[in-house]
Amino acid sequence: MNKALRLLAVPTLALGALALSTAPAMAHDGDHSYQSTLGQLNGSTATGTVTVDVTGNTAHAVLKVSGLPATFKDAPYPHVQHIHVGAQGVCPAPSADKDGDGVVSTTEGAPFYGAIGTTLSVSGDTSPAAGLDLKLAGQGASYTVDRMFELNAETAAALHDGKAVVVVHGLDPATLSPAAQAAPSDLVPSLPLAATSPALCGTLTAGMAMPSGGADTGVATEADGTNTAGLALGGGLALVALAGGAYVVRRRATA
Amino acid sequence: MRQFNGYRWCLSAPAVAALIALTACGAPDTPTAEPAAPSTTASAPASASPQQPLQTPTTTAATTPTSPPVSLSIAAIDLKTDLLSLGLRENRSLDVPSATENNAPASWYNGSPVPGTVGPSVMLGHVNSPNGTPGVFARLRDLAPGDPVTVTSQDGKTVTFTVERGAAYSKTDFPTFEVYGNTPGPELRLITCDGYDPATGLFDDNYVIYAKIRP
Repeated sequence: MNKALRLLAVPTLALGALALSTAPAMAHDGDHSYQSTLGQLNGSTATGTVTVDVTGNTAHAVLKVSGLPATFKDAPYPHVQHIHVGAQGVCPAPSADKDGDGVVSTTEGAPFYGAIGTTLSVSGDTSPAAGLDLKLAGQGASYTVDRMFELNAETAAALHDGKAVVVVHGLDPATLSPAAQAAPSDLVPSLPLAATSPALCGTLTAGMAMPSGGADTGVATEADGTNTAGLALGGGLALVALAGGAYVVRRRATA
Repeated sequence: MRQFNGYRWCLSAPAVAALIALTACGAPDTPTAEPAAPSTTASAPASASPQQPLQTPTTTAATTPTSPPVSLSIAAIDLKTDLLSLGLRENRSLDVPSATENNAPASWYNGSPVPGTVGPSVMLGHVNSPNGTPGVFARLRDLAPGDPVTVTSQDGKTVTFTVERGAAYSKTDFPTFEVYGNTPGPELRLITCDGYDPATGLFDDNYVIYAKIRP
């Protein structure tokens, strides 16, 4: 398999059992948030996190990954990712490797995380039909997918039941066994097995609606670049200068 | 021993001579002391390991706190404060207590778990007041691992946590999952500002105290 992972018109048939024909979700009351810190599969050394905030029937998903294989044949490596639904809602163990090639393929993992419920494309179609559209994949080693979309019934139910699993695909062929390096993808035979096999996986579990960052818990004071102890805090507290020109709040050493 | 995890600093902002309007740190919002919010869904522990079935929370209805927190006390730093109940701003950043009031109380982020339920319960407090005196959370950095933190809820019950560690983070690189991500048991996050830059009069960092429920 020496083809570069370029734009590929993928016949819908290739998705096989992994594609669901999905329906719009029924109205779901209240706001809910889900999160996952993704675990590594198939020897991947990548990391990733994902949050999904749901308001009514609208989901806002933010997926951040880094450390994935960056290139394939000198082109940016396209990585597809999805919310999988309809099975056990867990990630597969290495023992799921049925054919003994050292890789748990997407098909071998399906009994654990299920079929594609939502495609976390970088833009455009989020339905399962877009599941293998490399034009809509994340590119390279590190990227963020930030999408807002309407939930279909299967994905909404899976989130609600704690059975929705995010899977990010695309392994470095050089890290695989000779058998796996030579093997075609179980989903798209013209691609190598590495291209479509899972690298990161995590079950979406309910959690708080995460704030977007830290807190504005300091009151801005009059700026004075020449006054190195500009912030009077009283109570024995003092500013201590650190390298780089910033200050921390510290208790004075002497009363 | 205050262990610092990942001490990072922003690039210092250009010097500004005039009085800075209260902007980035401590916007002058009036505190929206909302009526007690219903408790959030108890979060199941994160499950990224292979073949681990999703665990359900182990607290029963009889023991699960449901009453929102109304006050916080930390004897080690002589702190007693009421707790406002605040949510998120439109841009999804944390709403904070008033920055125009001196010695404003601390607040509980009412989108986070009720203290004592599974997950990290988030509380915020200013490090300073407009008149230059210490803010309610000015002395968080004096806390040491093992210090008790007690939260009292509206129904009069108390929950005690034990300080584990403190860490400072640049606001431009804030680790949301580390601070707000699910935890196996009930925990607490106390957040204030740090990293004062005299050139701008602003605080570039947050300081976070991590505490776990006392067994």
